[in-house]
Amino acid sequence: MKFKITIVLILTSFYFSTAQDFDFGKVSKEEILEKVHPGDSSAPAAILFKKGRLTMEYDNGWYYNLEVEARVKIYTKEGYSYATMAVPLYAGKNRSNDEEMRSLKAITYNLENGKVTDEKMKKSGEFLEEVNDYWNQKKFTLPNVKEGSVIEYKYRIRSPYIHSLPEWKFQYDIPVNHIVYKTEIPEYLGYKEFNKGYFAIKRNTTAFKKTMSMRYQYSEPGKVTTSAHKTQTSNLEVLCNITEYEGTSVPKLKDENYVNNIDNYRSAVKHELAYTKMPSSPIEYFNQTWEHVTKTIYESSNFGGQLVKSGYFENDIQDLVKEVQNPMEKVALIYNYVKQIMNWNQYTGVYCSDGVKKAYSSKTGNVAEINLMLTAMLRSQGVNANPVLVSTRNHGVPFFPTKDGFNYVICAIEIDNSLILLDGTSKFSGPNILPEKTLNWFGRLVRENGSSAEVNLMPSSPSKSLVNMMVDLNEDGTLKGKYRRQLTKHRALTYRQVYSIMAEDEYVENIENAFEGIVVENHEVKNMEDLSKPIVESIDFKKEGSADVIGDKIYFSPLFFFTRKENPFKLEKREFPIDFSYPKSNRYMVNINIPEGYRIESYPEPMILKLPEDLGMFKFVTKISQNVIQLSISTDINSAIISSVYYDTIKEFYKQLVAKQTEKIVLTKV
Amino acid sequence: MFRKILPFCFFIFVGLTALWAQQSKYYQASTIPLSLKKEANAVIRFSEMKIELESQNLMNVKGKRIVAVLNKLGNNDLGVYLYYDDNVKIKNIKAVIFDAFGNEIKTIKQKHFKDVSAVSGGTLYSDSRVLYLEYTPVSFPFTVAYEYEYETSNTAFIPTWSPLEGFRVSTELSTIAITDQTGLGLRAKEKNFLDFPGIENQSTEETITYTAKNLEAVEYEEFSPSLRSYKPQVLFAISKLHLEGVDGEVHNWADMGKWQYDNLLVGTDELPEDTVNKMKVLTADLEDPLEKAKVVYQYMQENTRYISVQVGIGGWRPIKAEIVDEVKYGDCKGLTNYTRALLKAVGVKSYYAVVYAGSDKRGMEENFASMQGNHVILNIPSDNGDVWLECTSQIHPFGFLGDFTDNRDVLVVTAEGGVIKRTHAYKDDRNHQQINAEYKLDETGSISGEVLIKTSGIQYDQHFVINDYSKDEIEEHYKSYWSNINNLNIESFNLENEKSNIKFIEKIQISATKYASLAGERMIFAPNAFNKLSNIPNRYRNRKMPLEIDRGFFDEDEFSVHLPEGYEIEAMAESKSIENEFGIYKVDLIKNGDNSIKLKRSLIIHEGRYSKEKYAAFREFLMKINKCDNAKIVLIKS
Repeated sequence: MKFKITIVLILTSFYFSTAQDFDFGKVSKEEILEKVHPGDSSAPAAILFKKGRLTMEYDNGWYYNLEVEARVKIYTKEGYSYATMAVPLYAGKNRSNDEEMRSLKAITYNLENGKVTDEKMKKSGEFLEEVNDYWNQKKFTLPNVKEGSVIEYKYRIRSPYIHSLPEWKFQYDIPVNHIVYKTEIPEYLGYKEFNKGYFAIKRNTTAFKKTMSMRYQYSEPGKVTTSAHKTQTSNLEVLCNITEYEGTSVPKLKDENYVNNIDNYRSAVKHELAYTKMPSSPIEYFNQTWEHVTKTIYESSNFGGQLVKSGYFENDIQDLVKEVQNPMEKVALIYNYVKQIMNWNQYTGVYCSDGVKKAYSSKTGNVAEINLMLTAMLRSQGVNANPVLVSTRNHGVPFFPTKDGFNYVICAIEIDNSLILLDGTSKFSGPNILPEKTLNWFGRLVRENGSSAEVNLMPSSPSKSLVNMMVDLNEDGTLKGKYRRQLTKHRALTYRQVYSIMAEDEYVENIENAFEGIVVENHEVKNMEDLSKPIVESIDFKKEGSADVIGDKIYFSPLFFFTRKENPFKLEKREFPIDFSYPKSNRYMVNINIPEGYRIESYPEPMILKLPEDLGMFKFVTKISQNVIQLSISTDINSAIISSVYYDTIKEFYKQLVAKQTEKIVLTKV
Repeated sequence: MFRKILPFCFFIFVGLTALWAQQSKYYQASTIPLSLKKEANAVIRFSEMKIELESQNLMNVKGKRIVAVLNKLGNNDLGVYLYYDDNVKIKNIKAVIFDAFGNEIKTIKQKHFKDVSAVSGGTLYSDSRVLYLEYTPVSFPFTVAYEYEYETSNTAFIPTWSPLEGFRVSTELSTIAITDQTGLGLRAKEKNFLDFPGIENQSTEETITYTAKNLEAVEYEEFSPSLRSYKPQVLFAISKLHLEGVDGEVHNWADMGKWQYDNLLVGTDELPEDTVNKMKVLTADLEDPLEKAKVVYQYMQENTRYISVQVGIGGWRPIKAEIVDEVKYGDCKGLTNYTRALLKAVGVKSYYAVVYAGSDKRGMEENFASMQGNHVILNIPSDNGDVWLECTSQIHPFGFLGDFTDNRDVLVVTAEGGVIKRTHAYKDDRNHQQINAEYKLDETGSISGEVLIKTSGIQYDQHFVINDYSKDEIEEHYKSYWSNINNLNIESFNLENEKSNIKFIEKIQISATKYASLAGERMIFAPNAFNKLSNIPNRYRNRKMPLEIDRGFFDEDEFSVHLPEGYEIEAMAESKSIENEFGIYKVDLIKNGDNSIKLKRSLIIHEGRYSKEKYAAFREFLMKINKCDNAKIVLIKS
C-alpha cells in the first residue's frame, strides 16, 4: 500500500505578490479574442502564463514533485504545434519507470456565439511512448484547437532523481507574458542554484515552517520474519526555504549565424543538490564546486577506476615505444596508435560503458574509454597525462558545477610547461587540434590526486588557408589555370573529415560544385594521411563565363570563384558573442594573365581594414604590369570568440570586405 | 499518412543450414567481383528470402543476407533491422560480423539488438517498433551475415522482391521463393525487367522463385527518374488475405475497393445531429453540389488539424467521423473520412481515395490489386470531371493537390467497389509564374523598387506556403529566394492568396545597397535581378540514368530599370532566344528613352523523359540560360 504524503503549507500563494490573477480554468473572453500578440505580431503562439512549483516529499527516500500549469494562446495555424506536448521521462535502470507524470489535465477554450466554451482532453489524447531503454516520452495533444484558441494544461512530475532538479526555462521560441517558478526545499536538503541567459528574471527568497509527514522503513533488530521492515510515519515541523522567480514579457529566443549553441543564452534556472542534512545523521556534501564535481567523477569506478588499469595494454605499449627515448616521440607513437586501432562508437559521455579493457580488445569504445585508455597508456610511460572533462557545443556551456555539465573527455599532457590537448576518437585530429564540437570555452583537467584546474579549449593560433592561383583569362571570358590550396590545423581537419569518406569522382564533383561549376582537369591532394603536414590541394581547372565580355570590354572580380559575395552578418543588432570556433587566416595570391590585345583600364584601389584590439584585418593589394595582374588578398580573424560589443564593427568590416572583393577589373581592347 | 509501410523488401532468408556452409565464401571481401565494387559502398553478397503462406492469416518469412560494407558510407546499407508490432512474432534474429578475411569477429543475438519505438516524424504515436543492429566498424571492408525469421497474421502485406536495393549498393546474388500452401491465390507482378535481362524466373507449380545475379551499383544523378521507377522488382499478393483480424477476398481493384469499403469504412461516417444541422445551415442558400462542397471543405480546414496516431487496425481504418468531430483532429484517413461525412450531411457524394503521396508520382499498380498507398485524399465526381481534396491541409485551396498527389493512379473506394482513377496533371504552361518589377538604380549602385510575383499550378504550390509563415520567416525566405542580391532588405510585403482561382500574389518592396559593382567611372549590374536560373545540375563524366524533367513550367518576366542621373549605357547584352526539345528561352532588352531599360524574359521547360545521352545537351541549355540571365549592363558617367 502506498501512503500518500501530504505537505501542509501554512502559507500558499501569498508569495505570488506580483502575479496577475492566474487561476487555472479562468480563461477570459479577451484572451480568446486577441488576434495577434501585442509585443510580437509575428508570433504564431504565446505562453500567456506558466507556473511551476517544486516541492519535496519523503517516502523511504526523497522525491521531488514538480507541478506545472500553463495557459497558451494559439494565434495562427503555425501555432498548432504548441497544442501538442512531449515531456521526456527517465525510464531508470531496468525500466523501473519511477519518474512519472501524474494528474494530467488539459482543456481547450474557444469562443462560440460569444460564449467561452471549454473542452477537456480525454484519455485518447494521451500517449506514453517507450522511446528506448532509457527514456519514455509522455505525449498529449489537445482537442478542438483552432486559430484563436486558448489552451491550458497542468500536470505533476514525481521523480526520485533529486540530485539534479529539472531546468526551468523562462524563455522559449514564442513570447512569454508571465512566468513564475517556485521551489520549496526543506532544511534537510541544500541546493545550489544556477542562472543563465540574457533576459533578467526577478528573484525572491523567504523561509517558513511547515509540517511535513515523512514515511520511512526500519528493521527491527534481531527479528527475522518475512516482513522484517516496518514502516513509520512521523510528522515533523520543518523549516522550508522558498525561492520564487518571475519573468514578465520575455521575448522569444532567436538563433543567429555564428552562435555556438543558442541554448546557452536562454534564460533558465537549475538546481543541483549540494548537501543533505537528515535528522540525527551527519551532513553529506555533494558537488558544490567544480572541484567537487571533478572529484565525484574521478572517484567513479567508470572513470578513475579505468585510469588505473594498465595490464591490458602493457605489453603492446612496451613493444611500441621500446626503441624511443624522447618523451614527445613516445607521445606521438602512443597517440597515433590509439587513433589507429580504436574506433569510436559515436557515444559521448564522461564514463566508460563496457570498460577500457573490453574496449581495447574489441577495438571499439565510447569517448571515455578511448581517451582514458590513451591517458593511462601515456602515464605508463611516465608522461604527465591527465583527462580533461569537456562539454560539447551541442551540450552547451557548463555555467555551473554539475555532474551533467560534462559529456565528453579528452586527454591533456603537460610537457615543458606547455599543455597539449589530445582526442583519440577522431582519426584526423591532432595535438591541440580537437574536433570542432569540443571547442567550447573551458574544460576541466583532473589530476591524479583528484585536484582539478580550468583549461581553455579555444584555439589561440589561426587555422590557415593559403591559395596560390595562376590563371589565363581568355577574351571570351573563359578562365584556365591552376590553384594550389594549403590548409592547416582545423581547416585541414575539416577537409580530411569531409573528403576522406568520398570516392574520387565524388570528390571532384564536390570541388566543381563548391566553386561555381569549374571543370577540374587535373587534381592532386597531398598529405591526406600525414597529419603533421598541411593539406595541399592542387587543381588544374577551366571555367567558362568567368568574366563579363560586353562590347570591347571585359569585366571580372579578381578572386573569381573564391570571391566572398555575401555578408554573413545580416541582423540589425546582436546580443550574443560571435563565435568563429577558431582563429582564421585566409590568404589569396593571384596571378592573372590578361588576353592579348587588351589593356587594363581600371582596377580596385588597395585597401587595409583593421578591427579594433587587433581582432582582425583585411588587406587588399594589387600590382599591375603590362598584361599581368598580381593580387594579394588576406583576411585574418585573430580571436575564436568576439564580444557582441563589436557586432556593428564586424558587420561593417564584412560589408566593406565583400564590396572590395566584388569590385571589377576592367579590360579594354587596344 | 498511413502507418508503418514496412520496408519488407530488405528481409531475406535461408532455410537449410547446409547452405550456410556453402555461403562461407561470401564472408571474405576478397572474393567480391571487381565489377560489383565499382561505385559501391556496400555489396549484397547473398540474399535469400523464403516466404511460406501457411494460411489466410499466417505468413512465415525467413531470411538471410550477407552484406559486405566497403566503406563508412556503406554502413547505412546493412539493412539489419526488423520492424514489428503485436501482429509480428519474431522467432529468430541474429547477426554475425566477419573481418575482411572472413574471420568471425562477433555474434549479436536478439537481446543485444537495439529495441526502439518506430514513431517517425509527423506521427504523434504508433505502436510499431524496430529492432536493429548497432555496430561500430573497426576496419573496412567487413561483412555481416544476418538471419531472421518472423511470423505475421497480416498477409495483406507480402514483401516485395527488390534485388537492387539502393544507390551505390551492388548485388551479387539475390533470390526469393514464395509458396502458397493452401491455395490463397498467390499473384506476382514483374516490374522494370527490361533493363535487367539477367533475372531468372525459376518458378514451379508450388513455388514462385526469382534470382538475380551481379547487379552493378547505380549512383544518384540529378534529373533522373526515381530509383523505384527504374529498379527491377516483383510484387506479390494473395487473393484471400488477412489484415488485423479481418479476412478478405480480393482479385482485382474492384474487389479491393469493395473490401476496404465494407471493412474499413462502413459505419465510420455518422455525425452528431448538431453538426449535420450546422452543415445544412452553412450551405442552405446553395444549390450546386460543388459550391456546397467548397463551404464544407473550408469549414473542415478551419476547424481541424492534422495529428497522426497509428495503433492496430487504426493504421488502416479511419477513426470515426463523430470522434474527429469531437476532438477536431485526425490523420489523413480520419480527416478525409470526416470531410466525406460532412459532405454526406449536405447531400454531396464523395469518395475516399487511396494514393501514394510524394513528388515522384507513384501510382497504384495497374491490374495488380493489393494493399497499396500511403495516403488518402477525397474524390468528388462532378459534371465537369473529378474534384480532388487534400484534407490534411488547412491551407490548400479547394480542388488543389499540388505535387504531393498529382497525376497518378489512385484507388477510389465506393460501396459498389474500387475504381482506379487518375488525379489531375499539372502540365508545363499551367505551372505559370509571372514576375513584374520596377526598380531604380542610384549612383551608389543601390537599388530599390517593387516586385510583383503571380504564380499558379505547381509554382503556386511552391510559393503559397509562405502565406502562413511569420514575418521573420517570410523575410528570410525572400533573402534566400533572391540570394543573388547582396545586402537585400525587405522593406515591406503583401501576400494575397486567391484561393478561388488558385493564384498567389506577392507584392514586395525591396532595396539593396551595392547591387551594382563599381569600376572607376563605370557601373556594372545584371538587369535581371529577380528571376535567374541559377542551379546548374552536376556534370557527370559518364551519365547512366535517363534524363527526366518531372514537371514543366512557364515563366514570364518583365523588369523596368530606372538608371541613375549622369550615367549612360556604354554596353548592353543583346536579345537572345534559344529553342530546343527541352524548352524555349527568350530574353529582350529594350532601351526606354535615356534613362530606363526594360528586360523581357520568358522560359518554358517541357515535362518529359529523355535518353541519358540528352542529359549533356539539357545541361548545356541551362548553362546558356544562366549565362544570359547573368548578362550585365555597363553604365558610364556621362
